[in-house]
Amino acid sequence: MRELLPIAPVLAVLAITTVVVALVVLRPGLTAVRGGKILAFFGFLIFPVVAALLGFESHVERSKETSFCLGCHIMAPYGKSLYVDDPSYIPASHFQNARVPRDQACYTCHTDYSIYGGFRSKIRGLHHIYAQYLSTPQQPVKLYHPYNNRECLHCHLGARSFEQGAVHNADPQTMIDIKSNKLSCVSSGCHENVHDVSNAGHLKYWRPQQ
Amino acid sequence: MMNSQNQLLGKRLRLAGGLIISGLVVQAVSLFWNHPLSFIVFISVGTLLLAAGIVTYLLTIVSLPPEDQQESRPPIHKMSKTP
Repeated sequence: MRELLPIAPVLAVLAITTVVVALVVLRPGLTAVRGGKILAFFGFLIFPVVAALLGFESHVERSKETSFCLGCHIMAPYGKSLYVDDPSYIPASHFQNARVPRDQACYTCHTDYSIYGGFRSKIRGLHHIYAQYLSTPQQPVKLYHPYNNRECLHCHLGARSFEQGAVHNADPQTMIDIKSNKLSCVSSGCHENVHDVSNAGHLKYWRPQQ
Repeated sequence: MMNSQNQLLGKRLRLAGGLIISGLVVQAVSLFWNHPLSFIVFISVGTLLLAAGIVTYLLTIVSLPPEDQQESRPPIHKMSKTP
């Protein structure tokens, strides 16, 4: 029932539209009067457009969910890697300690925190669907571009643990390089344990208590 | 003549309505399916049917003859003043 709540307004508009359209179709004589014409105009044009926009919005919101990303079989090992029982694994420690919303774990770290970033993420998502169903997805899955520190700094910038971290302040240039994305957070030997799906079979996994 | 126009109007409205309702049903079903393909179904099938229905409806209303030609009002006669 809780799953239905976000789509309840969409379904309500869909139901109203269906009733109005059915009414006009079953009794076309209604359109002979001005009120009927207005009703038909709303039923055949305004309500369907509103319903489609609400449905689109609902789909876009759902595409941020972890379960959506893991819907493709190829992503299953990446979903499993969120349960690696080792705090040095960045995605796993973020997921398990709720540093990112668990139901939007993939999106939180893999969207672009820039202008039109959300839109670019959706285009990438469409490309993923194309690769999965109409082409051959590359194995192993790789990012299109090197991971940008901007995505880490979206949350960590200004945080005491980041700003006053001993390694981050080892020399003044280090912090400048991190913030300007010259020194990668994940591929400079600092936080390099990310999903590591190639070693999935050798790792210990956390089992959350129900 | 008028009757055949009404029949044509009814037929086109039924077609537009059928397309719109089919599109809405597809869109509603896609909302219950939490899978990447559901978005594709929503866009490529649902929205396409909906758009076809809307276009059919719009073509129907623009192809209708103007209202003054449609209505066969009885001529208005001026009441002659009785002496």
